[in-house]
Amino acid sequence: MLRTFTSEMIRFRRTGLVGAGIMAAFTVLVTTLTFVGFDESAGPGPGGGGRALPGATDLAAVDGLMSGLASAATMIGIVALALFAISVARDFERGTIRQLLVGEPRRALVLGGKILALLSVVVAGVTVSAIIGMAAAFALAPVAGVSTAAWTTGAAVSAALSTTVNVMVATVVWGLAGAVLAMVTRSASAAITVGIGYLLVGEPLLQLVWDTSSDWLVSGTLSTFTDGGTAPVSYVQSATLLALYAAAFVTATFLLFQRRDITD
Amino acid sequence: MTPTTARGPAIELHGLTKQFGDFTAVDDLSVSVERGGVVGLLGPNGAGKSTTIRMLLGLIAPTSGSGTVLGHDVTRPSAYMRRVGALVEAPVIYPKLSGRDNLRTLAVLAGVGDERIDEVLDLVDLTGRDGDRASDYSLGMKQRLAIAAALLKDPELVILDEPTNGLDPAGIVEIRELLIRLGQIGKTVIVSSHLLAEIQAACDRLIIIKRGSLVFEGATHELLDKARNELVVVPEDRSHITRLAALLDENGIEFATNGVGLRAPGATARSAFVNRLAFDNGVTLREVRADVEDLEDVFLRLTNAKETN
Repeated sequence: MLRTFTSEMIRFRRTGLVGAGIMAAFTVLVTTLTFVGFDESAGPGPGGGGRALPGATDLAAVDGLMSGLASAATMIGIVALALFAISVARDFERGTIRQLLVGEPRRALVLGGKILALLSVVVAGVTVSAIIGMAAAFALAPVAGVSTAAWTTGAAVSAALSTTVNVMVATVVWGLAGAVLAMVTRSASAAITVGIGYLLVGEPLLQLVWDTSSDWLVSGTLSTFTDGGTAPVSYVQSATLLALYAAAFVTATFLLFQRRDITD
Repeated sequence: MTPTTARGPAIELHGLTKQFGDFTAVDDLSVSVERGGVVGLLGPNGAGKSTTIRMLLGLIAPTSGSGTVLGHDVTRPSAYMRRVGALVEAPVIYPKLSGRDNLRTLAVLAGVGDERIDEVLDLVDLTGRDGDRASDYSLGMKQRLAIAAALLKDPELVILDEPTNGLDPAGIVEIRELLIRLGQIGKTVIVSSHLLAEIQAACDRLIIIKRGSLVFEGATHELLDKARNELVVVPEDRSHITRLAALLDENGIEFATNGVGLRAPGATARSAFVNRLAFDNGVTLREVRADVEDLEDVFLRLTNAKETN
């Protein structure tokens, strides 16, 4: 597994760096918009992507420091979906999968090393995003007139860690969804299109006909988990559901890879 | 399946078949390849060469049949692939990586050290260009890089699909010499190519398949023995055919008539004698020529005959 991981890291380092950079850039962008664009008088302001921007009071709270990362979680997840899809599908599109399997015929090891490398990119990307997001928040708070007193408490550190881990886990599940889509379509662009299409169109349409679908479907569950749970669905429930989704994605990806002929 | 000894065949297939839906890509293929030497895998487009190679490499699972590669069951590639190197179809590379990094990704995967990368780069004459981005390589350089990748593991069995594609004449000669050298040092090399002259020059043995079925298996010279080698003799005056036939018969030269002239199998070396014989006996010849098939002619005849049948 170490060999396939190292081999994947040599191939994927540029794309991984770009992906991690995009995650960090999104976090800085959303943090900036959060601090510059919030409505001082009205509490929580208008948001996008299904998550409202926090108001001034929220920003000054212990978890205000990580509001940018939390708000950028869906976008970071989409980046992860794209990264996993590109990494998995490109080898089929280019034909390099043949060379990899000639080098290491145990397919589970090849895919395991690849997934491990992608997970390390996600961990690095979200960690860097969290650090840069916090730095941006500290830099922008005085400009926006937001008090940072609560951000340096022990509770704030705990909240920062919790948010970072939640976003990291959610990002991994997004990535695993990208991997299974890429394994099914064997095309990076098709996998990304299907993934984003499901997020923007598929799940919202399902919500129109099934009110509580967001409590169960993957995108809604990811949002619930990142937010630390909601009224109808607890944090533990969303975490359990996400674990099931992750297990299903991983199992499907490995089974497809193990059983399919490499005819490309 | 119990592994055979090192003296057993490198590859042994029994009724190997691969179907994609209703289409049979490889049909009941049985073949045996001894260890050592260069074996040519020939066949027209769609003959099933690549599918066969992919089954040998574990990329595709056979629908039925059985076989061994280096003594191990063909359905368990993890047992033998550490001793197999391959170039499958077009060279595949990571364009943004250097040639050396392309090899490094595979070397790490196979547990091979950097010194072996230097050796194979030198072997395919890419030393000095190994730091360049692979996307800047010419097709020939990409092909050489892919061959270097196939040789990284210092494999016992090397399977190369169209290794001379995109190479200039000098590159083709280099690869041919490399294949021969690999065969001479005891490696088993299976090379598929549509350049029959290259196959003829480099290969000791040939396997010819057509529409997934075996057409010929044997030594290259055995195939060439099947080549037509006839002396064509056509008299200026058609009425002299009978006289000419009698002359050949008297001199023990076998022939067949076709109404226009005579065709004498295996008599091409006696063309001057036949010419003189006819002239001395008052028969003027309009045509005396050797009709000799090369490997390509035999290949086309065999594969077309198979198709016709």
